[in-house]
Amino acid sequence: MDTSLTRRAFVVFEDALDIEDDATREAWLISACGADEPLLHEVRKLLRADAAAERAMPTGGLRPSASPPPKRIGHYRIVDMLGQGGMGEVFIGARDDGLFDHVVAIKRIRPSLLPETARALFDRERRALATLSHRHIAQLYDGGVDEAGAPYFIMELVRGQPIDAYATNGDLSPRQIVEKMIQVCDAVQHAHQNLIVHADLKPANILVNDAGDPKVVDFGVARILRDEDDITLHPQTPGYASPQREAGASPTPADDVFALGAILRALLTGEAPRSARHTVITSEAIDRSPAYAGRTVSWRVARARVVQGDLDAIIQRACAAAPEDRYQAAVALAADLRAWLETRPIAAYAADRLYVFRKFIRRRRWRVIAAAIGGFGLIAALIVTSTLYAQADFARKQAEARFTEVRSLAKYLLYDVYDRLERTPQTLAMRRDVARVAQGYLNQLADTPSAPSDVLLEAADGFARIADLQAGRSRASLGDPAGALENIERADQIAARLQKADPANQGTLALRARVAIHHAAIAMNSRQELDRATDLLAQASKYIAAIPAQSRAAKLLTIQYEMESAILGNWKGSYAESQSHARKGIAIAEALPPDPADAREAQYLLARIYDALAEAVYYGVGAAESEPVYKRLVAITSTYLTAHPDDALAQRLAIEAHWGLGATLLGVNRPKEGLREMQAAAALVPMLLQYQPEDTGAQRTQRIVYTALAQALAMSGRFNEGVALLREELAKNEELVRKTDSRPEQVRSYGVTLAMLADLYADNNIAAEACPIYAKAEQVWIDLDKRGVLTQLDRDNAQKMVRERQTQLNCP
Amino acid sequence: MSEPDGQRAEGGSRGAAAARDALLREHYDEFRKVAGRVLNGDAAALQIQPTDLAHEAVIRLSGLNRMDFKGRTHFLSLSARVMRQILIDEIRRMRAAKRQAPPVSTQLPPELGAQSIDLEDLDRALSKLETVAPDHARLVEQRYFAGLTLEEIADIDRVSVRTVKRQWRAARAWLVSELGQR
Repeated sequence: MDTSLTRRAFVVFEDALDIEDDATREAWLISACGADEPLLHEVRKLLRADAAAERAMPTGGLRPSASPPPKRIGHYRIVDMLGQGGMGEVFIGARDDGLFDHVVAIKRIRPSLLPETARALFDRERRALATLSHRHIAQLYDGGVDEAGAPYFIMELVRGQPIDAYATNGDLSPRQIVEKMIQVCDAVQHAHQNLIVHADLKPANILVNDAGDPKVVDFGVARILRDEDDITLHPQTPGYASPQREAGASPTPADDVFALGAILRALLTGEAPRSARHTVITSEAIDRSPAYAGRTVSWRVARARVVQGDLDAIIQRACAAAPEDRYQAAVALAADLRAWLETRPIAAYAADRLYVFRKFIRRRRWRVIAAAIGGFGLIAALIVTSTLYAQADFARKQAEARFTEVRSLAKYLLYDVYDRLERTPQTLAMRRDVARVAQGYLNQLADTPSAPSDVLLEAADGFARIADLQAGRSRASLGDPAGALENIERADQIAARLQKADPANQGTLALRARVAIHHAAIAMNSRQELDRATDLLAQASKYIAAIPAQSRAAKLLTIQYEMESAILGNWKGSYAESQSHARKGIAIAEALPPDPADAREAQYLLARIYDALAEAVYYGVGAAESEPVYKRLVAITSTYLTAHPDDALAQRLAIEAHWGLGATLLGVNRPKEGLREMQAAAALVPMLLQYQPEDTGAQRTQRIVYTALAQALAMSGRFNEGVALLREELAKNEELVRKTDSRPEQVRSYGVTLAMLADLYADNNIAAEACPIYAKAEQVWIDLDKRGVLTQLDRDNAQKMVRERQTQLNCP
Repeated sequence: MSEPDGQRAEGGSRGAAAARDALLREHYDEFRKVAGRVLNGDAAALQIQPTDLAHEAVIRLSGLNRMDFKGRTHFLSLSARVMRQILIDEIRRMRAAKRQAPPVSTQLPPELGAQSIDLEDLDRALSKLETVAPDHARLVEQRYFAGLTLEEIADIDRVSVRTVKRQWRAARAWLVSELGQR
């Protein structure tokens, strides 16, 4: 770039700006630039760019658009303007094709709230929102972008008023308010089940129509809009925004629950909240509310007394500062509000038998007293008592019905939603959130003393499932081994409790087996606790033996058991044992008739178990003998990947298979073929990473593959390329050791990479480089041994090899 | 009664630090807004989120002990440089950590053509502009990375609004054509 030219062009350009008339400016330009053609060219280029930029946005800044209401939007004729707000304008539109009389509300959004880049999102979300159909949600019909570039929504026209005005004008009692809020909670729950968060719940967004039906409007709209001057999302109205939202976090269902609580409080106190943090409980706020200053003292006291206690507790729980202390779902809040209406025990208090008893007595006391005063005598008293019992029983049944709801939600989240997300790229954060919400449901279920055994069984299964999601070996794990261990131990405790109560129950036995197998996998893979894993697998085997062997569940459990036993054998260096386990498992797996319900799981198990067998043969018999096993593994995983190219699990299994075969070929000195396999593996890695960029398992796979590729390169005569690749991998390993506070598996990875780099130098007779790196690697194994986490596999191979190579090279 | 000199000096700098901290607290929201706008749409590609960026800016600014500021606008104008630096550092860090790091784009305001461009390209273009016309480059930085208005910038630099407007249009025209050439 010619800096002096640009500088001179700036000077001429800035002066040219003062001349407004085009012809005059042109003449002036030519005289100012003289014979300097490049300068003239440069200034003209700047002037053209300036003209374009001025058209897009005058230097004066943003002016609010004062355009007149449009005549029509989409297929609708604009009849009237309903209102104008921060987001844009709302019109009443009528379909004028004469076929039917259809009047709608049309919300036109200020274009600046929706940058060009967000348009695709807008279209996608709009379609998702249009599928929401619920009696208490204003239906979204359609939407688009009008000629002026402003996006719009066409939605159900609700003729009515916002719920706060409705409550004030209609002088609603707390009971009536709660009835309306239950309907609102149902609407919100419906949306949450469709994975749509409202993100801006407030009284103004809840309209009550002339029939008295509340309708929630603008569902999810806030999530789409971006405020050009504000942090990524349109901010939620203060007072209804949870502390997390106020801090700028993305909206979640828990924030909607918070807003619902805040709205209920606002309706009861007659006052809009000033902040998210309430210093005064609701019933006390009623007494002090300026909105009720004109009421009599006795009116205020009466209203406060109705709210005092249960409703106070419900609002406090809904508006808890920490999301995990809130109701885990709108349905749970609705259930408590219903319980309050029906004077049943509420869940806002911890499941506390004493409370239930107190409640029972307090609410019914007047009846007992009335009976006594009325002098009904003993028989009447007995009748009253038995009625009360019947009602208590009814309350218990209701509580169980709530379990069913919570239970189905947990199951739905952990299996259906999670699996769907797992197959969608870049959803790690969302999956983590789903797991968190499900964990909340499960905690709630497991903490309830009166939970029936089938509920507990499912809760334990859910805990085991979360543990697998948090630290499963080959699936896209959430990378939380500590959390996994906690959950698996919890599952185990519940399962043990259940078995104690009913020792021969098949479901419980299967659960205990599954939990023990998962537990063993976590113990050996994440924590290198091989003895613990051995014990756990022995337990699992006992439980499986007690289940009828011919059932599909028993077979799948047996395959899992044989697979983990084979992997454990490899860790311990007992390869013969490992082979025999693997072959037993393979025989069962290959004889299992296919069933679409568990096809993915079965493929996964088959690939894993072949992998374990190949490893056992490689170490126990020899590299050459393991080649056919690895070839079979590559064939299995390739077939699966061809059938399911978008499945990250299939991608990962194929990568690992190519890697295994490649490493074997390198081991028998067939570098060209080995390099080909490593390249096949490395070619699949970017796809996997793109799918799950933050997944720790995917990152580990990447490291392993690239390390091996470096070795293959060097063995094929491309030494320098190999060293560069390995040094890079080493730096990443070091970083991970530091970041994870020296987690054993990361330290091990680091040690292996060190040894590989040293090997690479040693194999090419560069002892001066190799020796110090070997010394470093040996120190890693010594440190792991001191911590008690060095496995037999590493002692027999990695550590031994490092020592032998140092002796061979005559290292100092 | 007179204090020893050293102690007075320390007291003085403590006073300045308190004033600076007050400014940081006051402008935290503003930082978040700017960060949100700059990362508009593409924050997900980076590990850093708008709130983190604001935090980081506050931390780095707190580190500038000798920071000499004259009120809100001057303070924000200094933070513009810090913001830009953090973002670019963050992108480089991400690139170092990931082999196939996607580009991180930012949405330019309508006045700069409303296009989505790679943040590193913007940084490179700005650095290039700095070598030619440092005042113009700083102006873009103040506008884009600190969200200052032209009037505010004129006030800090003690020049007329008209001058700033002319410079702004030159810088803008240059950037638009520079970025358009890629």
